[in-house]
Amino acid sequence: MNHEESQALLEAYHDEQLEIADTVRIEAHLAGCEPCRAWLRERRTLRARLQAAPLHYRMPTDLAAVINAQTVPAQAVPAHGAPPRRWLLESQWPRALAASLLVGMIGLWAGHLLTVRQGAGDAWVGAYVRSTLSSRPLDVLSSDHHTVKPWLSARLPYSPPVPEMTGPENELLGARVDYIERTTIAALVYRHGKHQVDVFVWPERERPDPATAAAPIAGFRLASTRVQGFNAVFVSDMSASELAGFRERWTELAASK
Amino acid sequence: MPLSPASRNRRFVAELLPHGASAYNLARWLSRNESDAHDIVQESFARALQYFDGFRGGDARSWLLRIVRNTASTWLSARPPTAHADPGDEAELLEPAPGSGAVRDADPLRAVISQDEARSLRQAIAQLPVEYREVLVLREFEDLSYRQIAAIVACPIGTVMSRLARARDELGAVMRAEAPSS
Repeated sequence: MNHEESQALLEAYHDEQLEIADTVRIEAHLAGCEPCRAWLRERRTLRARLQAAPLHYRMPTDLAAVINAQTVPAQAVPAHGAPPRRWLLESQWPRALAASLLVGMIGLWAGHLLTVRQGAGDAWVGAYVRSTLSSRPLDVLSSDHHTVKPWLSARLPYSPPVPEMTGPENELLGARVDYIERTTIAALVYRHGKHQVDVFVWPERERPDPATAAAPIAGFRLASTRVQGFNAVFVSDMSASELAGFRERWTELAASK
Repeated sequence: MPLSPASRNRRFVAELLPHGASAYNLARWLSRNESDAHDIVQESFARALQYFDGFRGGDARSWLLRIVRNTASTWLSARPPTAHADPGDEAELLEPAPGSGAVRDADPLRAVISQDEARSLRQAIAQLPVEYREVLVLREFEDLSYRQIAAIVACPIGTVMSRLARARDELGAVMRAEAPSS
């Protein structure tokens, strides 16, 4: 990892928010980089001070009482009041129990589904975010596919389609090679309006699985397509409809090559 | 099946009341004065109770803090920006608990900090732009992950990180200005 890259990730390292691979890489860099170590020491001093100073406001006791009063009345009613109501409530116990078990099971299942699908999108969003954080988001900076395509084919075992998308709205900015799920993958970078769009392209039958989450992940949207024997995954911070439009245009151009 | 009002309230009390202190601390830092914080928290709990059926379980604190944050921003945008900022005095603050905060034992020296230093630190945080202040509070005082913070303030994770960086750079500059010798 070079110095620029590590600087983009140091904040997250300080907050223990990096994945293990990045943590290992950054620690290797830190071992040999005194400026980065000094930077980190300063962050740690600040944190120590923030922990040592009284900075937590105490909730006023009257406020706690107000909140309790806000929530408690309905709960207090049966205690004072009519026994028949209590009895009625209790008679519903078996049904309530069965229902809550069912809800729990559905929840578990949905949770499982969610983690699987999120996992699928996370890697793409992670690559996108890292590139926007990095001071060097592109390895090859060119809007000319005659430059980008050979650059990519020289570094990858395949030659992905590189639609140029010139125009006021869309523009090819360049490309980089990313490393996702233990595979090197071409990442084409475009501008759409003021948004950056990363398009990851790799051969159709190879890893990783191009499945993407339909819901936005941390504010980023994903879309995918297949064209001319390649998978493509799109990541951007633009709206769903804009991204769908971009995907269509890109696919059209890629198919016409 | 909707819960009966009684069990719904029981669940609400069990899940959300424990996070009252976090809710208040956030509201207090966002509004920068006691009486606004009071009203924001009260309104947040009222909203939380109203929307509780939409809470699917899980991270109750984040869910509540998101409501607090949204309530605070509506609240604060409705009044003049000159509304007085009052960092408060020692009586309003909790003594730091040993081993609390984002990373335990971050510094074995665990600096004893003078009242003056603490006061200037509070002032420096209070003067940060609200976008920086909120992520700093959520990260340093609530120990939330970038992902959780991103969900609460509704912005990308990268933005959380860059705002945190700015907030810390500013506080670091204040600290250096205060103590040129160290």
